[in-house]
Amino acid sequence: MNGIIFENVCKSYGETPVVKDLNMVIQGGERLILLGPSGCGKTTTLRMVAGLETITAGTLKMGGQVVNTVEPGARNIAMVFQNYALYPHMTIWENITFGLFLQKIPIEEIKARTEQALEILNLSAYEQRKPNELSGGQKQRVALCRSLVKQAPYFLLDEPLSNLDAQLRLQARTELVKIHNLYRPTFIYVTHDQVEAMTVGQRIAIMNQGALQQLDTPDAIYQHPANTFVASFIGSPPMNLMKGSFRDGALWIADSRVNPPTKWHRHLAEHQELWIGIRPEQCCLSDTPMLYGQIEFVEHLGSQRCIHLRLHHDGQRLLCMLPVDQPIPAGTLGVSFSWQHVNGFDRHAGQNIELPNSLSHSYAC
Amino acid sequence: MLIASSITLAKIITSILAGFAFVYYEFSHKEKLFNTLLLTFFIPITVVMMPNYLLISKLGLLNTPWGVILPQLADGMGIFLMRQSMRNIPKPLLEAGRLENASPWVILTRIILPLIKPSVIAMGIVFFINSWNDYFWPLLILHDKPTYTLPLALQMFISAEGGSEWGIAMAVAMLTALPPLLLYLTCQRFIMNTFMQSGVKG
Repeated sequence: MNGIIFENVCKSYGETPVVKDLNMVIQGGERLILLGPSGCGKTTTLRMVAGLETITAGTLKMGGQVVNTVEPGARNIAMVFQNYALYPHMTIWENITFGLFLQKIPIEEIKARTEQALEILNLSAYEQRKPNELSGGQKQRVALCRSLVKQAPYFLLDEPLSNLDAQLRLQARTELVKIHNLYRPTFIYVTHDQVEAMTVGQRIAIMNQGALQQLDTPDAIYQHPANTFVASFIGSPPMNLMKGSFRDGALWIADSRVNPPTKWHRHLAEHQELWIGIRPEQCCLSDTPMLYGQIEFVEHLGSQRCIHLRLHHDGQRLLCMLPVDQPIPAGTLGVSFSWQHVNGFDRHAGQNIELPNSLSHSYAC
Repeated sequence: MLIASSITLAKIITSILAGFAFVYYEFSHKEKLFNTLLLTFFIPITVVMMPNYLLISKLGLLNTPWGVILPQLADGMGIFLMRQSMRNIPKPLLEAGRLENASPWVILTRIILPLIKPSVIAMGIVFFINSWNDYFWPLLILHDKPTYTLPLALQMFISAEGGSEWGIAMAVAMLTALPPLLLYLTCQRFIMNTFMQSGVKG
Protein backbone atom coordinates (compact mmCIF):
# COMPACT_ATOMS: atom_id res chain seq x y z
CA MET A 1 0.00 0.00 0.00
CA ASN A 2 2.68 2.49 1.08
CA GLY A 3 5.40 0.75 -0.83
CA ILE A 4 8.16 2.54 -2.70
CA ILE A 5 9.45 1.25 -6.04
CA PHE A 6 12.65 2.38 -7.74
CA GLU A 7 12.72 1.50 -11.42
CA ASN A 8 16.08 2.16 -13.11
CA VAL A 9 16.48 5.34 -11.07
CA CYS A 10 19.61 7.34 -11.90
CA LYS A 11 20.93 10.56 -10.46
CA SER A 12 23.88 12.52 -11.72
CA TYR A 13 25.33 15.97 -11.09
CA GLY A 14 26.50 17.11 -14.49
CA GLU A 15 28.66 14.32 -15.83
CA THR A 16 29.16 12.70 -12.41
CA PRO A 17 26.81 9.78 -11.72
CA VAL A 18 25.79 9.55 -8.07
CA VAL A 19 23.11 6.85 -8.18
CA LYS A 20 23.32 4.28 -10.97
CA ASP A 21 20.36 2.35 -12.31
CA LEU A 22 18.73 1.65 -8.95
CA ASN A 23 16.04 -1.03 -8.90
CA MET A 24 14.53 -1.68 -5.51
CA VAL A 25 11.13 -2.47 -4.00
CA ILE A 26 10.43 -1.30 -0.45
CA GLN A 27 7.38 -2.94 1.08
CA GLY A 28 4.78 -0.78 2.82
CA GLY A 29 5.40 -0.63 6.57
CA GLU A 30 8.87 -2.16 6.50
CA ARG A 31 12.02 -0.78 8.10
CA LEU A 32 14.59 -0.52 5.35
CA ILE A 33 18.13 0.64 6.01
CA LEU A 34 20.27 2.29 3.35
CA LEU A 35 23.80 1.43 4.35
CA GLY A 36 27.12 2.20 2.75
CA PRO A 37 30.35 4.16 3.06
CA SER A 38 30.43 7.95 2.75
CA GLY A 39 29.69 9.13 -0.79
CA CYS A 40 27.95 5.91 -1.87
CA GLY A 41 24.70 7.68 -2.82
CA LYS A 42 22.51 6.59 0.09
CA THR A 43 21.57 10.10 1.23
CA THR A 44 20.92 11.14 -2.38
CA THR A 45 18.59 8.15 -2.72
CA LEU A 46 16.73 9.21 0.43
CA ARG A 47 16.49 12.80 -0.78
CA MET A 48 15.07 11.62 -4.09
CA VAL A 49 12.30 9.84 -2.15
CA ALA A 50 11.70 13.07 -0.21
CA GLY A 51 11.58 15.07 -3.45
CA LEU A 52 14.50 17.27 -2.38
CA GLU A 53 16.60 15.96 -5.29
CA THR A 54 15.34 15.61 -8.83
CA ILE A 55 15.58 12.25 -10.57
CA THR A 56 17.82 12.28 -13.65
CA ALA A 57 16.35 9.09 -15.20
CA GLY A 58 14.02 6.25 -14.25
CA THR A 59 10.79 6.10 -12.30
CA LEU A 60 10.07 6.43 -8.61
CA LYS A 61 6.69 5.18 -7.41
CA MET A 62 5.20 5.79 -3.99
CA GLY A 63 1.93 4.15 -3.06
CA GLY A 64 1.52 3.07 -6.68
CA GLN A 65 1.83 6.63 -8.05
CA VAL A 66 4.75 7.94 -10.08
CA VAL A 67 6.16 10.82 -8.04
CA ASN A 68 9.13 11.95 -10.16
CA THR A 69 7.81 15.50 -10.44
CA VAL A 70 5.67 15.67 -7.30
CA GLU A 71 6.68 18.47 -4.90
CA PRO A 72 8.15 17.39 -1.50
CA GLY A 73 5.21 18.84 0.42
CA ALA A 74 2.72 16.83 -1.62
CA ARG A 75 4.42 13.46 -0.91
CA ASN A 76 3.18 13.20 2.67
CA ILE A 77 6.57 12.43 4.12
CA ALA A 78 8.05 12.91 7.57
CA MET A 79 11.80 13.35 7.63
CA VAL A 80 14.43 13.56 10.35
CA PHE A 81 17.53 15.40 9.17
CA GLN A 82 21.08 14.58 10.20
CA ASN A 83 21.45 17.90 12.04
CA TYR A 84 17.77 17.79 13.13
CA ALA A 85 16.83 21.05 11.30
CA LEU A 86 14.94 22.50 14.26
CA TYR A 87 13.93 26.13 13.81
CA PRO A 88 16.13 27.97 16.34
CA HIS A 89 13.71 30.90 16.78
CA MET A 90 10.74 28.71 17.69
CA THR A 91 10.03 26.89 20.95
CA ILE A 92 9.90 23.09 20.94
CA TRP A 93 6.10 23.25 20.89
CA GLU A 94 6.13 25.61 17.90
CA ASN A 95 8.70 23.45 16.11
CA ILE A 96 6.54 20.36 16.50
CA THR A 97 3.23 21.98 15.60
CA PHE A 98 4.50 24.20 12.73
CA GLY A 99 3.66 21.67 10.01
CA LEU A 100 0.35 20.66 11.57
CA PHE A 101 -0.90 24.27 11.55
CA LEU A 102 0.11 24.57 7.91
CA GLN A 103 -1.94 21.47 7.17
CA LYS A 104 -4.91 23.25 8.82
CA ILE A 105 -5.50 20.39 11.25
CA PRO A 106 -8.02 21.34 13.99
CA ILE A 107 -6.31 22.80 17.06
CA GLU A 108 -7.74 20.12 19.39
CA GLU A 109 -6.19 17.37 17.30
CA ILE A 110 -2.88 19.23 17.09
CA LYS A 111 -2.81 19.47 20.88
CA ALA A 112 -3.74 15.81 21.34
CA ARG A 113 -1.14 14.54 18.86
CA THR A 114 1.61 16.77 20.19
CA GLU A 115 0.99 15.96 23.84
CA GLN A 116 0.95 12.23 23.06
CA ALA A 117 4.20 12.44 21.08
CA LEU A 118 5.91 14.59 23.74
CA GLU A 119 4.91 12.04 26.35
CA ILE A 120 6.14 9.07 24.32
CA LEU A 121 9.52 10.74 23.81
CA ASN A 122 9.67 12.07 27.37
CA LEU A 123 9.82 15.72 26.28
CA SER A 124 6.79 17.18 28.04
CA ALA A 125 8.96 19.26 30.39
CA TYR A 126 10.76 20.99 27.54
CA GLU A 127 7.96 22.21 25.29
CA GLN A 128 8.52 25.91 26.04
CA ARG A 129 12.28 25.79 25.59
CA LYS A 130 14.20 26.84 22.49
CA PRO A 131 16.36 24.25 20.67
CA ASN A 132 19.62 25.85 21.84
CA GLU A 133 18.57 25.11 25.44
CA LEU A 134 18.49 21.36 24.77
CA SER A 135 21.18 18.68 24.66
CA GLY A 136 21.99 16.75 21.48
CA GLY A 137 19.90 13.77 22.56
CA GLN A 138 16.91 15.97 23.40
CA LYS A 139 17.16 17.77 20.05
CA GLN A 140 17.21 14.44 18.31
CA ARG A 141 14.04 13.40 20.17
CA VAL A 142 12.36 16.70 19.25
CA ALA A 143 13.17 16.04 15.59
CA LEU A 144 11.65 12.57 15.93
CA CYS A 145 8.65 14.06 17.70
CA ARG A 146 8.09 16.57 14.88
CA SER A 147 8.05 13.71 12.39
CA LEU A 148 5.94 11.51 14.61
CA VAL A 149 3.06 13.99 15.02
CA LYS A 150 2.70 14.22 11.27
CA GLN A 151 1.61 10.56 11.18
CA ALA A 152 2.83 10.35 7.61
CA PRO A 153 2.87 7.01 5.80
CA TYR A 154 6.57 7.50 4.95
CA PHE A 155 9.22 8.13 7.58
CA LEU A 156 12.66 9.07 6.31
CA LEU A 157 15.69 9.34 8.59
CA ASP A 158 19.05 10.68 7.45
CA GLU A 159 21.71 9.49 9.91
CA PRO A 160 19.65 10.76 12.85
CA LEU A 161 21.88 9.26 15.52
CA SER A 162 25.25 10.29 14.11
CA ASN A 163 25.65 13.21 16.56
CA LEU A 164 24.89 11.18 19.67
CA ASP A 165 27.29 9.44 22.02
CA ALA A 166 27.41 5.64 22.13
CA GLN A 167 25.10 5.28 25.13
CA LEU A 168 22.41 7.62 23.80
CA ARG A 169 22.65 5.93 20.43
CA LEU A 170 21.87 2.57 21.98
CA GLN A 171 18.83 4.03 23.73
CA ALA A 172 17.67 5.90 20.61
CA ARG A 173 17.82 2.76 18.47
CA THR A 174 15.28 1.09 20.73
CA GLU A 175 13.08 4.22 20.66
CA LEU A 176 13.14 4.25 16.87
CA VAL A 177 11.91 0.66 16.64
CA LYS A 178 9.19 1.43 19.20
CA ILE A 179 8.10 4.48 17.20
CA HIS A 180 7.90 2.39 14.05
CA ASN A 181 5.76 -0.18 15.82
CA LEU A 182 3.29 2.54 16.89
CA TYR A 183 1.72 2.99 13.47
CA ARG A 184 4.06 1.15 11.10
CA PRO A 185 4.99 3.73 8.46
CA THR A 186 7.33 2.79 5.63
CA PHE A 187 10.64 3.54 7.24
CA ILE A 188 13.79 4.41 5.29
CA TYR A 189 16.83 4.93 7.45
CA VAL A 190 20.19 6.08 6.13
CA THR A 191 23.30 5.23 8.10
CA HIS A 192 26.92 4.29 7.67
CA ASP A 193 26.92 2.51 11.03
CA GLN A 194 26.47 -1.20 10.45
CA VAL A 195 25.46 -1.89 14.07
CA GLU A 196 22.55 0.55 13.68
CA ALA A 197 21.66 -1.10 10.40
CA MET A 198 21.69 -4.62 11.82
CA THR A 199 19.68 -3.72 14.93
CA VAL A 200 17.05 -1.36 13.46
CA GLY A 201 16.54 -2.78 9.98
CA GLN A 202 14.19 -5.50 8.83
CA ARG A 203 16.03 -5.39 5.50
CA ILE A 204 19.25 -3.66 4.54
CA ALA A 205 20.16 -2.19 1.17
CA ILE A 206 23.92 -1.91 0.87
CA MET A 207 25.21 0.65 -1.61
CA ASN A 208 28.64 1.41 -2.98
CA GLN A 209 29.66 3.98 -5.59
CA GLY A 210 26.03 4.70 -6.41
CA ALA A 211 25.07 1.08 -7.08
CA LEU A 212 22.96 -1.28 -4.99
CA GLN A 213 25.15 -4.17 -3.87
CA GLN A 214 22.69 -6.29 -1.92
CA LEU A 215 19.16 -6.00 -0.52
CA ASP A 216 18.32 -8.59 2.09
CA THR A 217 17.69 -9.27 5.76
CA PRO A 218 20.52 -8.46 8.22
CA ASP A 219 21.17 -12.17 8.85
CA ALA A 220 21.31 -13.06 5.16
CA ILE A 221 23.66 -10.18 4.43
CA TYR A 222 25.95 -11.17 7.28
CA GLN A 223 26.00 -14.88 6.53
CA HIS A 224 25.78 -14.75 2.78
CA PRO A 225 27.19 -11.52 1.31
CA ALA A 226 26.51 -10.99 -2.39
CA ASN A 227 30.05 -9.90 -3.22
CA THR A 228 33.44 -9.12 -1.73
CA PHE A 229 32.48 -5.48 -1.03
CA VAL A 230 29.55 -6.51 1.18
CA ALA A 231 31.67 -9.23 2.78
CA SER A 232 34.35 -6.79 3.81
CA PHE A 233 31.95 -3.92 4.68
CA ILE A 234 29.65 -5.83 7.02
CA GLY A 235 31.09 -7.20 10.22
CA SER A 236 33.63 -5.83 12.64
CA PRO A 237 36.25 -7.14 12.18
CA PRO A 238 35.32 -7.83 8.54
CA MET A 239 35.17 -11.20 6.82
CA ASN A 240 38.52 -12.80 5.98
CA LEU A 241 39.01 -12.99 2.23
CA MET A 242 41.77 -15.41 1.28
CA LYS A 243 43.03 -16.19 -2.18
CA GLY A 244 42.16 -19.77 -3.11
CA SER A 245 42.48 -21.89 -6.22
CA PHE A 246 40.81 -25.15 -7.13
CA ARG A 247 43.05 -27.68 -8.86
CA ASP A 248 43.58 -31.44 -8.80
CA GLY A 249 40.21 -31.89 -7.08
CA ALA A 250 41.25 -29.89 -4.04
CA LEU A 251 41.17 -26.32 -2.82
CA TRP A 252 44.52 -24.64 -2.16
CA ILE A 253 44.77 -21.75 0.26
CA ALA A 254 48.24 -20.37 1.00
CA ASP A 255 49.79 -23.55 -0.41
CA SER A 256 47.76 -25.63 2.05
CA ARG A 257 45.55 -28.28 0.56
CA VAL A 258 42.08 -28.30 2.05
CA ASN A 259 39.26 -30.61 1.11
CA PRO A 260 35.93 -28.88 0.54
CA PRO A 261 32.67 -30.83 0.41
CA THR A 262 32.36 -32.90 -2.77
CA LYS A 263 29.11 -31.06 -3.57
CA TRP A 264 31.19 -27.94 -4.14
CA HIS A 265 33.59 -29.39 -6.67
CA ARG A 266 31.47 -28.53 -9.67
CA HIS A 267 31.06 -24.88 -8.55
CA LEU A 268 34.71 -24.54 -7.67
CA ALA A 269 35.81 -26.06 -10.96
CA GLU A 270 33.80 -23.42 -12.84
CA HIS A 271 35.71 -20.59 -11.21
CA GLN A 272 39.06 -22.10 -10.16
CA GLU A 273 40.53 -18.78 -8.96
CA LEU A 274 38.48 -17.36 -6.12
CA TRP A 275 38.29 -15.59 -2.81
CA ILE A 276 37.44 -17.77 0.15
CA GLY A 277 35.45 -15.80 2.72
CA ILE A 278 35.23 -16.80 6.36
CA ARG A 279 34.11 -14.73 9.33
CA PRO A 280 36.76 -14.30 12.06
CA GLU A 281 34.42 -15.70 14.70
CA GLN A 282 33.96 -18.89 12.63
CA CYS A 283 37.68 -19.66 12.78
CA CYS A 284 38.86 -21.81 15.64
CA LEU A 285 41.95 -23.51 16.97
CA SER A 286 42.05 -27.17 16.02
CA ASP A 287 44.06 -30.34 16.54
CA THR A 288 43.66 -31.02 12.81
CA PRO A 289 44.23 -27.52 11.45
CA MET A 290 43.56 -26.55 7.84
CA LEU A 291 45.82 -23.48 7.83
CA TYR A 292 48.89 -22.42 9.76
CA GLY A 293 49.91 -18.90 10.56
CA GLN A 294 52.24 -16.81 12.65
CA ILE A 295 50.61 -14.63 15.33
CA GLU A 296 51.35 -10.97 14.57
CA PHE A 297 49.44 -9.39 17.40
CA VAL A 298 46.42 -9.85 19.62
CA GLU A 299 43.64 -7.30 20.18
CA HIS A 300 41.77 -7.52 23.47
CA LEU A 301 38.08 -6.72 22.99
CA GLY A 302 36.70 -7.60 26.41
CA SER A 303 34.82 -10.87 25.98
CA GLN A 304 36.86 -11.90 22.94
CA ARG A 305 40.33 -11.56 21.51
CA CYS A 306 41.08 -10.85 17.89
CA ILE A 307 44.16 -12.73 16.70
CA HIS A 308 45.98 -11.32 13.66
CA LEU A 309 47.67 -14.19 11.82
CA ARG A 310 50.08 -14.08 8.90
CA LEU A 311 49.54 -17.34 6.96
CA HIS A 312 52.54 -19.47 6.15
CA HIS A 313 53.84 -19.64 2.59
CA ASP A 314 52.13 -16.67 0.97
CA GLY A 315 51.79 -14.25 3.86
CA GLN A 316 48.03 -13.61 3.56
CA ARG A 317 46.41 -12.13 6.63
CA LEU A 318 43.73 -13.95 8.64
CA LEU A 319 41.76 -12.60 11.59
CA CYS A 320 40.50 -15.02 14.16
CA MET A 321 38.16 -14.21 17.08
CA LEU A 322 38.65 -16.43 20.09
CA PRO A 323 37.00 -16.46 23.52
CA VAL A 324 39.03 -14.60 26.12
CA ASP A 325 39.42 -17.72 28.29
CA GLN A 326 40.92 -19.85 25.50
CA PRO A 327 44.70 -20.17 25.88
CA ILE A 328 46.68 -19.05 22.84
CA PRO A 329 49.93 -20.84 22.10
CA ALA A 330 52.89 -18.63 21.31
CA GLY A 331 54.26 -18.42 17.76
CA THR A 332 52.53 -20.60 15.20
CA LEU A 333 48.81 -21.25 15.32
CA GLY A 334 46.79 -23.91 13.50
CA VAL A 335 43.35 -22.73 12.45
CA SER A 336 40.34 -24.60 11.20
CA PHE A 337 36.82 -23.59 10.19
CA SER A 338 33.49 -25.11 9.40
CA TRP A 339 32.65 -25.35 5.69
CA GLN A 340 29.02 -24.42 6.28
CA HIS A 341 30.17 -20.88 7.07
CA VAL A 342 32.42 -20.48 4.07
CA ASN A 343 31.50 -18.22 1.17
CA GLY A 344 33.24 -18.32 -2.19
CA PHE A 345 33.65 -15.29 -4.46
CA ASP A 346 34.82 -15.11 -8.05
CA ARG A 347 38.36 -13.70 -8.01
CA HIS A 348 37.72 -11.31 -10.92
CA ALA A 349 34.04 -10.29 -10.67
CA GLY A 350 33.93 -10.48 -6.88
CA GLN A 351 30.43 -12.02 -6.93
CA ASN A 352 29.39 -14.78 -4.54
CA ILE A 353 29.54 -18.09 -6.45
CA GLU A 354 26.68 -19.50 -4.37
CA LEU A 355 28.31 -22.59 -2.91
CA PRO A 356 25.68 -25.05 -1.65
CA ASN A 357 26.01 -25.13 2.11
CA SER A 358 27.07 -28.57 3.23
CA LEU A 359 27.99 -30.01 6.56
CA SER A 360 29.36 -33.27 5.12
CA HIS A 361 33.01 -32.25 5.44
CA SER A 362 32.76 -29.81 8.27
CA TYR A 363 35.31 -29.74 11.02
CA ALA A 364 33.96 -29.31 14.49
CA CYS A 365 35.00 -26.01 16.06
CA MET B 1 11.76 61.84 7.63
CA LEU B 2 9.06 60.64 5.22
CA ILE B 3 11.50 60.43 2.32
CA ALA B 4 14.19 58.61 4.33
CA SER B 5 11.67 56.17 5.83
CA SER B 6 10.05 55.45 2.46
CA ILE B 7 13.41 54.84 0.78
CA THR B 8 14.56 52.61 3.66
CA LEU B 9 11.36 50.58 3.65
CA ALA B 10 11.38 50.18 -0.13
CA LYS B 11 15.02 49.13 -0.19
CA ILE B 12 14.49 46.60 2.62
CA ILE B 13 11.51 45.03 0.85
CA THR B 14 13.18 44.83 -2.56
CA SER B 15 16.44 43.54 -1.06
CA ILE B 16 14.68 40.77 0.90
CA LEU B 17 12.57 39.66 -2.05
CA ALA B 18 15.45 39.75 -4.54
CA GLY B 19 17.84 38.04 -2.09
CA PHE B 20 15.22 35.32 -1.48
CA ALA B 21 14.81 34.79 -5.23
CA PHE B 22 18.58 34.41 -5.65
CA VAL B 23 18.78 31.87 -2.82
CA TYR B 24 15.54 29.90 -3.08
CA TYR B 25 14.74 29.69 -6.77
CA GLU B 26 16.66 28.13 -9.62
CA PHE B 27 16.48 30.07 -12.88
CA SER B 28 18.66 30.40 -15.93
CA HIS B 29 21.60 32.85 -15.79
CA LYS B 30 21.11 33.29 -12.03
CA GLU B 31 24.82 33.71 -11.30
CA LYS B 32 25.36 36.03 -14.27
CA LEU B 33 22.47 38.20 -13.17
CA PHE B 34 23.85 38.37 -9.64
CA ASN B 35 27.33 39.26 -10.87
CA THR B 36 25.85 42.01 -13.03
CA LEU B 37 24.11 43.31 -9.92
CA LEU B 38 27.46 43.39 -8.12
CA LEU B 39 28.90 45.47 -10.95
CA THR B 40 26.41 48.24 -10.13
CA PHE B 41 28.49 48.90 -6.97
CA PHE B 42 31.19 50.34 -9.20
CA ILE B 43 29.02 52.80 -11.11
CA PRO B 44 29.41 56.23 -9.46
CA ILE B 45 26.29 58.25 -8.71
CA THR B 46 27.53 61.05 -10.97
CA VAL B 47 27.27 58.74 -14.00
CA VAL B 48 23.60 57.90 -13.44
CA MET B 49 22.61 61.34 -12.19
CA MET B 50 21.82 62.91 -15.57
CA PRO B 51 19.78 60.03 -17.04
CA ASN B 52 17.86 59.73 -13.75
CA TYR B 53 17.19 63.47 -13.71
CA LEU B 54 15.89 63.39 -17.29
CA LEU B 55 13.65 60.43 -16.48
CA ILE B 56 12.21 62.06 -13.36
CA SER B 57 11.73 65.26 -15.34
CA LYS B 58 9.84 63.43 -18.11
CA LEU B 59 7.66 61.70 -15.52
CA GLY B 60 6.76 65.14 -14.15
CA LEU B 61 8.06 64.31 -10.68
CA LEU B 62 10.49 67.23 -10.31
CA ASN B 63 10.04 69.12 -7.08
CA THR B 64 8.11 66.26 -5.46
CA PRO B 65 9.20 63.74 -2.80
CA TRP B 66 8.48 60.94 -5.33
CA GLY B 67 11.21 62.32 -7.55
CA VAL B 68 13.71 61.74 -4.73
CA ILE B 69 12.32 58.34 -3.73
CA LEU B 70 11.72 56.66 -7.10
CA PRO B 71 15.34 56.11 -8.27
CA GLN B 72 16.27 54.72 -4.84
CA LEU B 73 13.72 51.91 -4.47
CA ALA B 74 16.31 49.12 -4.80
CA ASP B 75 19.93 48.78 -3.80
CA GLY B 76 22.57 46.34 -5.05
CA MET B 77 24.39 46.28 -1.74
CA GLY B 78 21.15 45.44 0.09
CA ILE B 79 20.39 42.54 -2.25
CA PHE B 80 23.95 41.29 -1.83
CA LEU B 81 23.71 41.47 1.97
CA MET B 82 20.33 39.72 2.09
CA ARG B 83 21.51 36.97 -0.25
CA GLN B 84 24.59 36.36 1.91
CA SER B 85 22.54 36.29 5.11
CA MET B 86 20.02 33.88 3.63
CA ARG B 87 22.76 31.64 2.28
CA ASN B 88 24.11 31.28 5.81
CA ILE B 89 20.85 29.68 6.93
CA PRO B 90 21.35 25.88 7.01
CA LYS B 91 19.66 24.39 3.96
CA PRO B 92 17.85 21.63 5.92
CA LEU B 93 15.79 24.33 7.69
CA LEU B 94 14.33 25.42 4.36
CA GLU B 95 13.97 21.83 3.20
CA ALA B 96 12.10 20.96 6.40
CA GLY B 97 9.71 23.79 5.50
CA ARG B 98 9.27 22.44 1.98
CA LEU B 99 8.46 18.98 3.38
CA GLU B 100 5.77 20.58 5.56
CA ASN B 101 4.20 21.90 2.35
CA ALA B 102 4.97 25.48 3.36
CA SER B 103 4.62 28.00 0.52
CA PRO B 104 7.65 30.14 -0.42
CA TRP B 105 5.92 33.08 1.30
CA VAL B 106 5.54 31.09 4.54
CA ILE B 107 9.17 29.93 4.32
CA LEU B 108 10.30 33.54 3.85
CA THR B 109 8.17 35.10 6.56
CA ARG B 110 8.08 32.34 9.18
CA ILE B 111 11.51 30.75 8.81
CA ILE B 112 13.95 33.03 7.00
CA LEU B 113 13.03 36.52 8.22
CA PRO B 114 13.12 35.69 11.95
CA LEU B 115 16.57 34.17 11.45
CA ILE B 116 18.03 37.12 9.55
CA LYS B 117 16.28 39.81 11.60
CA PRO B 118 19.58 41.31 12.89
CA SER B 119 20.87 41.68 9.32
CA VAL B 120 17.63 43.31 8.18
CA ILE B 121 17.74 45.78 11.07
CA ALA B 122 21.40 46.62 10.41
CA MET B 123 20.76 47.08 6.72
CA GLY B 124 17.74 49.29 7.46
CA ILE B 125 19.80 51.54 9.74
CA VAL B 126 22.51 51.99 7.13
CA PHE B 127 19.90 52.77 4.46
CA PHE B 128 18.12 55.23 6.75
CA ILE B 129 21.31 57.08 7.68
CA ASN B 130 22.36 57.29 4.02
CA SER B 131 18.96 58.60 2.90
CA TRP B 132 18.75 61.02 5.82
CA ASN B 133 22.13 62.52 4.99
CA ASP B 134 21.60 62.50 1.23
CA TYR B 135 22.18 66.02 -0.09
CA PHE B 136 23.00 66.10 -3.76
CA TRP B 137 20.08 64.19 -5.31
CA PRO B 138 17.39 66.06 -3.31
CA LEU B 139 19.18 69.30 -4.24
CA LEU B 140 18.70 68.48 -7.92
CA ILE B 141 15.07 67.42 -7.63
CA LEU B 142 13.60 69.71 -4.95
CA HIS B 143 13.38 73.43 -5.68
CA ASP B 144 10.72 74.87 -3.36
CA LYS B 145 11.61 75.48 0.27
CA PRO B 146 8.53 73.64 1.70
CA THR B 147 9.69 70.42 -0.03
CA TYR B 148 13.32 70.61 1.23
CA THR B 149 14.89 67.77 3.19
CA LEU B 150 16.80 68.64 6.39
CA PRO B 151 20.30 68.77 4.85
CA LEU B 152 18.94 71.20 2.21
CA ALA B 153 17.21 73.29 4.83
CA LEU B 154 20.39 73.39 6.87
CA GLN B 155 22.22 74.89 3.92
CA MET B 156 19.82 77.86 3.90
CA PHE B 157 21.40 79.14 7.15
CA ILE B 158 24.90 79.21 5.68
CA SER B 159 25.78 81.67 2.94
CA ALA B 160 29.02 81.78 0.97
CA GLU B 161 28.64 85.57 0.68
CA GLY B 162 28.62 86.23 4.41
CA GLY B 163 25.69 86.72 6.74
CA SER B 164 25.69 83.10 7.87
CA GLU B 165 23.66 82.47 10.99
CA TRP B 166 26.10 80.07 12.60
CA GLY B 167 24.25 79.70 15.86
CA ILE B 168 21.04 78.56 14.21
CA ALA B 169 22.97 76.51 11.63
CA MET B 170 24.82 74.61 14.37
CA ALA B 171 21.61 74.03 16.32
CA VAL B 172 19.83 72.68 13.24
CA ALA B 173 22.89 70.55 12.35
CA MET B 174 22.81 69.10 15.86
CA LEU B 175 19.09 68.32 15.60
CA THR B 176 19.63 66.84 12.13
CA ALA B 177 22.35 64.54 13.42
CA LEU B 178 20.35 63.30 16.41
CA PRO B 179 17.86 60.80 14.85
CA PRO B 180 20.45 58.73 12.95
CA LEU B 181 22.82 58.92 15.91
CA LEU B 182 20.19 57.62 18.32
CA LEU B 183 19.17 54.94 15.84
CA TYR B 184 22.76 53.83 15.44
CA LEU B 185 23.49 53.80 19.15
CA THR B 186 20.35 51.76 19.85
CA CYS B 187 21.03 49.16 17.19
CA GLN B 188 24.81 49.20 16.76
CA ARG B 189 25.22 45.58 17.93
CA PHE B 190 23.16 44.40 14.93
CA ILE B 191 25.37 46.42 12.59
CA MET B 192 28.60 45.09 14.07
CA ASN B 193 27.39 41.47 14.03
CA THR B 194 26.09 41.68 10.48
CA PHE B 195 29.19 43.19 8.94
CA MET B 196 31.49 40.91 10.92
CA GLN B 197 29.53 37.91 9.63
CA SER B 198 29.58 39.02 6.02
CA GLY B 199 33.32 39.57 6.37
CA VAL B 200 34.15 36.27 8.01
CA LYS B 201 31.74 33.88 6.36
CA GLY B 202 31.49 35.55 2.96
